[in-house]
Amino acid sequence: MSSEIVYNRISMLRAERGISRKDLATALGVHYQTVGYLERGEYSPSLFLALRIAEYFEVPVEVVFSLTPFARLGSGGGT
Amino acid sequence: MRRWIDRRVRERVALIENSPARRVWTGRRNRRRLVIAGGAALLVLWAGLVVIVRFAPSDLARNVYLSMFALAVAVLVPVYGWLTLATKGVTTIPAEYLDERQRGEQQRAYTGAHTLTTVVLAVLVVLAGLWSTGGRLTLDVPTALLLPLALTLLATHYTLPLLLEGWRLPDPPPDEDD
Repeated sequence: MSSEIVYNRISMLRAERGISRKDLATALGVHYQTVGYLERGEYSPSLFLALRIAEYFEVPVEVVFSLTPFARLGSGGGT
Repeated sequence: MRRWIDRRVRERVALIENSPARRVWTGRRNRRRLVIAGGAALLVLWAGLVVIVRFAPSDLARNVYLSMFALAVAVLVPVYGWLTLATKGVTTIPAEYLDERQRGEQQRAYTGAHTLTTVVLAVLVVLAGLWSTGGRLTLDVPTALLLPLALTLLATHYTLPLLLEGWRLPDPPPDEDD
């Protein structure tokens, strides 16, 4: 396997909904630094945690996680 | 008993989280300085064994070894405490109180320390083999060596996971209130 990077949109979803890192960590039952490491892409979650994060934000898991980088806002379409 | 342990662990976690000293040592550079100091203290402990082998039994060996031991302990005790704070107690808190990332960190630290301890023991075996005379596989060592050797092995075994974790951890994400 060439790369095991899992990209995610946790920080975007969190900012969008005004949720602090500590609140998210408490809801997920993890240490708040774990949320920070996830957001920085320095930790890839287990399938269980990934599903719980998606469930928390009420979105499908592929909205939060991807094996390829997410397109930057405003970079698609060019209109 | 279970509730008592649970309360004690939670108190320790809260102590680690709220300690003002944690912020000083949590950055990688300062943390690695602590690891270097701790590693040096362990080396002093091992060097003390050489003093015993070479000069015991004598007052010189006793005084030099005790001085080295005191120096190592004076360094190791605070280093151990500060590194525990800096690593959020990942190597000392029971796994069931950690999240999945922390459990992974703990496992990596213990696996790495196990490998290193194996290397240390293998080196000891080789040295003992080289040191034994005439292929008889027997050694003449001062009995004064036994307790310090056990202590040094214990200190090495006990501190290596923390030293490895302190060296390896990346800089933590900044707290939101920073």
